[in-house]
Amino acid sequence: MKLVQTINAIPRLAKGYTREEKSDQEIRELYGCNDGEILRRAMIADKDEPDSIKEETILFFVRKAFREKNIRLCDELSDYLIRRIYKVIYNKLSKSFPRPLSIDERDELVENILNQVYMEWYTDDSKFSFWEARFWFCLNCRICDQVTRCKKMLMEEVSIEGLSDPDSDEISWLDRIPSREKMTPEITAMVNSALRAMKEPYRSAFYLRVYEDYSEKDIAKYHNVSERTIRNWLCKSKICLEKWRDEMPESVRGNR
Amino acid sequence: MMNDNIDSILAAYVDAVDRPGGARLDEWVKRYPQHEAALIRFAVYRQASSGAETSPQLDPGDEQMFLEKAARLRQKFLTDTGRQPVTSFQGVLSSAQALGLTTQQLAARLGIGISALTKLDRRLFKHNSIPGELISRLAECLSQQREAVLQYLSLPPRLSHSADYRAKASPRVQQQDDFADYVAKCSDMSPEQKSYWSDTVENTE
Repeated sequence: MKLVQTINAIPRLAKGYTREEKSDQEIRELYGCNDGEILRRAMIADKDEPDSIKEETILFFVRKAFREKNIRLCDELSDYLIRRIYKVIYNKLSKSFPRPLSIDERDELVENILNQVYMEWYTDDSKFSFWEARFWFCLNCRICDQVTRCKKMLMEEVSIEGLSDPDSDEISWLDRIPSREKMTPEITAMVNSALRAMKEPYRSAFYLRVYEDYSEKDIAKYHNVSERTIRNWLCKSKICLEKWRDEMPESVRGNR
Repeated sequence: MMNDNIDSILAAYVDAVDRPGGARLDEWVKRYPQHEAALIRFAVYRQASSGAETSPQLDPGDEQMFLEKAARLRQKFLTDTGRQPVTSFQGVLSSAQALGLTTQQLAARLGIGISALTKLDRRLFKHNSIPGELISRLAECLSQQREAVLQYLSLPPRLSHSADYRAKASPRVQQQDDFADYVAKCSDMSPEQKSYWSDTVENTE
């Protein structure tokens, strides 16, 4: 009877979302426990420890504490979550740019990510309840938002010097890059490196053309620009690729 | 039925891409035209960051700075949202800081060493070994209810913001000490202070 009451008292996620079974089980175990027990288990970061709990579970109790205005519990549990995401954020950021970010650049990105994260954690808005179903995925989405924003602002403009007429066949060699399914791991790694180095909107144009097989017309429609502009952007993305071009197989490189 | 929230759609897209046979972005864009920009943005980001093997070169103080920044932003967010805590007592050192008291000043007012004060903040003493007089002094110095301070001290130990940032493994919380045992062996309290607290503990036992 008590178990049924507990299950009924646990707020459900928004329609269409389900918690992982392990997280669901942990919430049932801890629902109604005192703050000390919740903190004790949240503190255990080593996933191999039997009493450790998932990030989704901790976030459930962060939000519960926030709703109940138990700010001390909310703050301490948030601190444990923050400790768990620290390395992931720095890792993802370092993998998203071709060069190490300056401290100022990194600090600004981190601050924006954290502000966004707190805004979404401390709310009852069902729009953000997916965090309790897929915590790491949601964090990755927030990092993606900031990286994309940064790609438009921070990275150096690709030099357009030496660009030939975009209507010429200068970009035709892009057609020689094999489709995603046929790329060897080496080519994939090289093209991904170039992708990291590109500034928006060149990199999304390049990605859609090379990886998703979009036509220039479809890319132009998405960006709401002319096809000639897209050809221009692809020429600029090509300059980024030049750095890796020498390392590519002759079949991809073509005649220079 | 899938929720129409963008995060859940992106998660379903990634799951589909990772399944054998993959998934075509243009098909997902056709299915969710209202989320076209987000789908493309995420697909590009995911592709660009996949396979990158670089690990960040983190300076020793990076984690500490990150945690402090996160704590500062959190406090600001909670204050800005107007949340009134049930208990306003957030911690020994943060409460002192809010009153403009330095760690040294508070330690001097309490008549204990800085190391013992830091352990109190991190709840590294067995709470029933802490003299009632010290709890009362703490409450008075920090303008708090004695009950709120007692409740704080009885929670499990908490990690320091600078805990073991060089360590490869996750930092572990230290064992809780007996207050009297610690005072007897600590090196930053005068013999008078040690004697005072030792007598206080004995008299209350």
